[in-house]
Amino acid sequence: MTRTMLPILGLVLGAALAAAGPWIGPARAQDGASPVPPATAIPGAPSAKGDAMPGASRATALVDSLKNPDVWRSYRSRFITEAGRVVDTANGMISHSEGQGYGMLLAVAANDRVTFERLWGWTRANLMVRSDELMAWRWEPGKRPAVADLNNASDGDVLVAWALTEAAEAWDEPSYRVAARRMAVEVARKTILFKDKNGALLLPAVSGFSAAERADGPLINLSYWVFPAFARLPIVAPEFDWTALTASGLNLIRRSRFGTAKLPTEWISLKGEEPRPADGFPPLFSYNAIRIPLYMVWAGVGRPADYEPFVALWSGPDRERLPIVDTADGRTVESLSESGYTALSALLLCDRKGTPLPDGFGRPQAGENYYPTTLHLLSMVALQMRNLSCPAR
Amino acid sequence: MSGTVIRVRERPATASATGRARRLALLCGASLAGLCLVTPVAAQTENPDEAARAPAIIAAPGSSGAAGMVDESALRYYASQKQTARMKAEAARLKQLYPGWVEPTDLDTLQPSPPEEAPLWDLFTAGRFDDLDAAIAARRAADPNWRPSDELSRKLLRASFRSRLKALTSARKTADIVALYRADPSALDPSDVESYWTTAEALASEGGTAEALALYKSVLDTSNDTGVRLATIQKAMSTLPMAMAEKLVAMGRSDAEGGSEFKAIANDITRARIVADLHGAPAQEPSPADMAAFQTYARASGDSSQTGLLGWYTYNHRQFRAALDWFKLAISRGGDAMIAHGLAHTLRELGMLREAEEVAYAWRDKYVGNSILFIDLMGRKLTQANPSFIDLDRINRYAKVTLATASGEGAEALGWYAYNSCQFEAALEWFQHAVAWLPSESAVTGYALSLQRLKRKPDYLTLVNRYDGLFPKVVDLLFREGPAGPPLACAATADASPPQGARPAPGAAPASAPAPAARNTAAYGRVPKPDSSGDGQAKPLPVQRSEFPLAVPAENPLRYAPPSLARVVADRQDGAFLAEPPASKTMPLVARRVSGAGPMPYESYGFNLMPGYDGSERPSTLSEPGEGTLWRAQQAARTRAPQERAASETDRFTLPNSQAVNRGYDNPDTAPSSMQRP
Repeated sequence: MTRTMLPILGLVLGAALAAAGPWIGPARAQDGASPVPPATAIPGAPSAKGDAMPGASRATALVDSLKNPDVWRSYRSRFITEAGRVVDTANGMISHSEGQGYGMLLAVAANDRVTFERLWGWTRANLMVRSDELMAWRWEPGKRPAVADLNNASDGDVLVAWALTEAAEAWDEPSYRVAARRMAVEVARKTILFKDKNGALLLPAVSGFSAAERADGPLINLSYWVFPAFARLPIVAPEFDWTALTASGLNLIRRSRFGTAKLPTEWISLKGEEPRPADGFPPLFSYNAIRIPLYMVWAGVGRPADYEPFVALWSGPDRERLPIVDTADGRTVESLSESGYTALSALLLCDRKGTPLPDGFGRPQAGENYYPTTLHLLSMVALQMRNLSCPAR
Repeated sequence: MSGTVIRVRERPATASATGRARRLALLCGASLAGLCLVTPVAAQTENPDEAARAPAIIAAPGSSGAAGMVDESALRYYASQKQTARMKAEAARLKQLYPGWVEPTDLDTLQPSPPEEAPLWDLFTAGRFDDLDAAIAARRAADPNWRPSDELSRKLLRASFRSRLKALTSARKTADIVALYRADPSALDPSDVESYWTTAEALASEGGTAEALALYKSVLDTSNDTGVRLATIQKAMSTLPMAMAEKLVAMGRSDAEGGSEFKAIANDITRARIVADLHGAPAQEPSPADMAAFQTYARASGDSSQTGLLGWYTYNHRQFRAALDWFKLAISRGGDAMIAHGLAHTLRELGMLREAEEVAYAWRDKYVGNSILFIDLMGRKLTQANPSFIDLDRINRYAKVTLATASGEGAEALGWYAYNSCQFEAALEWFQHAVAWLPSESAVTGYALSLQRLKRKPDYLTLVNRYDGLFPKVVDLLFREGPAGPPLACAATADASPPQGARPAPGAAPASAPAPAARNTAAYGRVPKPDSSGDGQAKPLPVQRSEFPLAVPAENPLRYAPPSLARVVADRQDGAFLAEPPASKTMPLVARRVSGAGPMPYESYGFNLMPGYDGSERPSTLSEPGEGTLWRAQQAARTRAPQERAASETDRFTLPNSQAVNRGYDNPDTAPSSMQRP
């Protein structure tokens, strides 16, 4: 990548922290520690980005992109408690930072400010128990204590930081902007390796995935690359090269084509020269990875060839279910039958091939669980934001 | 049609230049008004000469038609017809028109075009390349042995390349441009500089920096036109990492006086080097002479972004006095909130904390980073071990900003300040806010201590039990001798009752100063040491069964919505939300293991925890961010800092207490913590 917004690494921030360190309260204060050299003028302008690489400038706002209020009301009554907790109904009624992030994004998309505040209020009161600006990723009701793990999940943090950014933009609320910046900066300085040999790497969490901590590390999860977020986080944290993250994610997707199906696995080792399925994880294209094409379409990034394995997989005769594929032998080991999942394939095929949307695309099924329903609503939002038009068949 | 590049030197700013300026302005508007120091390049030039050249440098590729093309068709026609005199005359004409133009070397080899190609040449001249392709295909279908002359093939290849390049450029399809180029690099017409630039820019943005560099280099190798050469450097600096662009700068020829031919854009080169330095990218260090010239230019330019750039540069090199001057100059010239941010940080580095606080406060609404800096700067002051007297107005405004930004950091700082000055009721309210917004171990500890001081035992026990298994320091409060550890310095006079009328309560009228306590200098003796519970020997639990463990709701119920929403959020909306599923069984009394939480204090008495959600049975702590993170670099710089600072002018401003207040989670054992202080 070029040098349009290289991260202000090392010297600048480091030098400041060096002196600033001690006075910061609970090791979480950031801007006290992080001077932010501006996106300075350089001769000429930042290099032009083609359609394959939309920068922040052309990303559209999220607010009001979920046009159907009934869909949102139904979602809220099924998955969000009055306290603002998003409940993973298929998973022991637990909550996680990712779910809170999705809920907050959908609340902005539905322009539901009150519900957004409930969601954010619960999130910070219950998940921000680390001594930094990130969230503990997992929360289980009825447990002592409810927080299960103090580690974070980078995708959850990215999603919440993005949702706060959108909320700040939509409603001009300073507290959201402040929170968005603190969290985005923390993600950037604690979980991103900007100068890895593979380009900018988003580690799945602060702890446990680095080269030092795993024999096959660093480990990545490509579904944590929330491309549409990277187009918007520069609004609150312009000093970091979020564009580099988009470029590296696409590059890694290109290189992570395992087995005959040429699909990425959920967890990928970057220990060697080329990506390979991580040790100790089934080499599946599964619940996590099905979000990769969603984020690509949503942000409108990537070359046509980048989409091909996903298009091929989801263009099969059975459009009612989404396959989970073992990349070792290319076989479908299981099928996701809840219709919410198929919104992902409908969105992808609409974007890539102009395939008409199925009848149920605008009407999420009432009986389905948190995850497929959430993916369904996100697909509807993506369709709207990308202004895609594929008449229902 | 031709010569745009060459002629633009005499032209004033073009439409494309102003268009870019507008786009940049929009970009800035779309993000944060204060963030954008990006100025259109035209505004960075310092003298009329440069201003006149600017459009050549910044003209958007493709906006000037087939700019850069020298029309050699007549020349090549005469050459192919062996009409040498006419050919020479045409060459002379072109040379006069385009001083940088170099005569093609293949003129001798050109063959006359066969007469039957005339209609095809007509199509070519008319720019109807698709029709021409079709005509050639039809001809070949009829006569498989026929092929167009080399001249026609080559010209068609290059012309259709150029027209496709143009279309792709205006559609901003950089990946397709790269694919087009890589399919046949020879289709790039060596005389077509614009296409070289466009292709190089696309290559650079798609990761092909080495290929881009090669294209820029070949322009410098072949072109003698000053404008083209300067513009090539400009373009390379804007698209390539500076370390690569330096290779092109090094290709500069020496002029008659022995200087570089690029000295006309010396300030632009210096600027690019400064920017690279700020971004941590390798580049040549500007020579003292270049730096001096740039400083002179910056002073004269009146453009706050240029002085601001020098502010950041000197800041980056820890020359804080110089940085202060540059930032001040930039502010006086209309510098924006980002300049103010630099100024505030410089003041902080110089130990002028009071001034830094004022600058950050004044610019808090224009850039979110200033708001955060303000909270963190004064947060330090408030959480010092011995609270010093702080002016009423300063506390009030800090409380206001804390509430307006729903800052957990600010609320916790106010909580500690109130607590350490024995204003326990105010402390309680601030800690409640802190625990709603950012329930870190230290905030929850402060809250628990405040509840304890105010003898709100049920609430205190609920809180401690809620964080059992998660926050050892909170649980540890139950295992201490005495209710709240060693006495507070202020407690000598204030005891547990806060000074009347000095209660910075968040909801009501904002804070007032804890003046009586703060002025009680007699209470300012030693910083109490953290209370260590015993010396490792097992002791009987001082905790009663009625206190711990208790079954308590796991969810933290505290909420403080922004003022604009406080009322609506409290409204109940029946049926609108999922009913919280009833707990299937009663809350457990034994905590489970939480990854990263470390051991609980009662474990040393032989008690154990339930396995964690992932089956973990042993206590664990989280590892720090890994090698290669910015955080890691900051930590390294932090440990290097004391030596560096020893010889620096900042020393005389260093606050004596600055080492005492690191309540870092990352180093809980070595960092004295205010939560342990009481």
